[in-house]
Amino acid sequence: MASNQSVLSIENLQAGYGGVRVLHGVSMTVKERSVTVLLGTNGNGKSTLLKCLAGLVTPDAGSAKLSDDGAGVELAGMHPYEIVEAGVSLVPDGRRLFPLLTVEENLLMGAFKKSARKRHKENLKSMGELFPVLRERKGQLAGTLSGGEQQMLAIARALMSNPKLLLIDEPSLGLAPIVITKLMSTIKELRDKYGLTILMTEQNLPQAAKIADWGYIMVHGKIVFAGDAQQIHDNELVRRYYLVG
Amino acid sequence: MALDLLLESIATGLLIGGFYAALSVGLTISFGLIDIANVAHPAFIILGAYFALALSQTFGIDPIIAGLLLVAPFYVIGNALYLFYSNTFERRGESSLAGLVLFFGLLILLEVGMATQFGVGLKALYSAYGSVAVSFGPLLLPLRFVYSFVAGVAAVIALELFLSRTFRGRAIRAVAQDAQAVSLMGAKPETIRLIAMGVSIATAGLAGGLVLAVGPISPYQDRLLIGRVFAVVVLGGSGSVVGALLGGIVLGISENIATIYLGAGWSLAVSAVILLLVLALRPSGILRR
Repeated sequence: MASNQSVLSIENLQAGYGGVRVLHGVSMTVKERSVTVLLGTNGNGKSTLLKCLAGLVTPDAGSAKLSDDGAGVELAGMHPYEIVEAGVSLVPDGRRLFPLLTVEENLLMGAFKKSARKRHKENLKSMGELFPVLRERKGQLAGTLSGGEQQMLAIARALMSNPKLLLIDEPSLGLAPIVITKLMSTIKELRDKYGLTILMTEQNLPQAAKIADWGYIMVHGKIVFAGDAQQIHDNELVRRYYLVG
Repeated sequence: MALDLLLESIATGLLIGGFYAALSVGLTISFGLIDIANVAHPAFIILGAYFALALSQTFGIDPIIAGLLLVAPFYVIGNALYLFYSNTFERRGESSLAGLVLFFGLLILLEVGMATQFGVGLKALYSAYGSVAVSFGPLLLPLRFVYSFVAGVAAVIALELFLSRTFRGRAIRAVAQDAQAVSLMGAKPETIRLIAMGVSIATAGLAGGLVLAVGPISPYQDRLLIGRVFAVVVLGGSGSVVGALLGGIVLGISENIATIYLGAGWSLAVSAVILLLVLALRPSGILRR
């Protein structure tokens, strides 16, 4: 179960594209060895928040601190490759695999940073154990995999860098319900077996709520609800937001 | 038509294909993998040939060895070229058309520079094997083409291993597909392109040594190569190093056969015909990247 040490503290983060403000002062924390789910329907700013954390979007204001054994590293304003070096890995929206590289070559791309290169053999082996289908298809071009396999490859590729914090943007998008169930149990396994800290965005409340320790709901670029697993499940606002609104 | 002559021209064409591959692999990396249409690539090859000539004459070394010695300095020249290009054109998002103009200007500068520096006349190195032929069964093959074939094939194998087996090489192939995703892997796309352009121009150094080994050189000789190297790159599949070898062999054999049946004047047109046919019928080339 989740500890109380926080791995990521976001405070009053503001960001947008050109003149359009998307995030209006977002504050949240992600606790060590937890699965934290950021819920919300399309177009509310969930992806933008993850892009800020991964360095793909530069925030206009606010801070996102990665606590690195006491000393916090400010992620806001860092380049994507520096953020990977600091121990944060993003599984991006749409997976963004390299379709013309093989499954194994995609995984090895994930191990590009120096500290991960040294461990690429053992990491490749553990990814094969975690996702046997990727081991079976290691010589196949990534572009020829099914949607579910591609999502697994995208997660495995991100794990090849040995991240402290794994960000996953909408893992269930476009996948069949049975594939989503399997994927969620894999994400749960990452926390339970490997002690990973995960922040993921989701539109799919019932599936995400099953594995979430903590949940946040974002509406129009603001956090409107924060709570633990039980509260997400019971909360009137959550029900109203998802069932009615 | 004598069968022997046909066989010999096919065999020589195959050997020339390895030579063409060495001239084109660098371009398939810059043009095919990092989207830099370096039309000055053949001019860098001729520059390499003049440097190889100077090295060979000064130290009495083989032109192919001289080409190998040029690999490291030409890598640095490629780095510098990329830095200039990325800090001016690429950063402003004018990478395609304005970039082409930059490289076209560079081509002319290199030609004029070489013409004023080394003279417009032909220069040649008379190496020990320049006019020697080896017999291979019933065939007589020029030794200089055998050596340049071996060097070209070795360069292709080395580059293929680099691109498929090393972290940097794989990143060069990945950056062609999704540069932003490459940054999410912890690699800086600009650095990856810097390396790729270095490798691309480094091959021009080696290719210069091969050009010198094969025949006399002149400052405007790049004009005879430019159509060929683009034909080889497009035919092989832009971005594919092994494709450049296959494309080179197809072009080498086609040119030789055209010379026999149509006359030597036609051989230069072969690359243009191949280029147009491939673009029209199979734009992705023999091997997709």
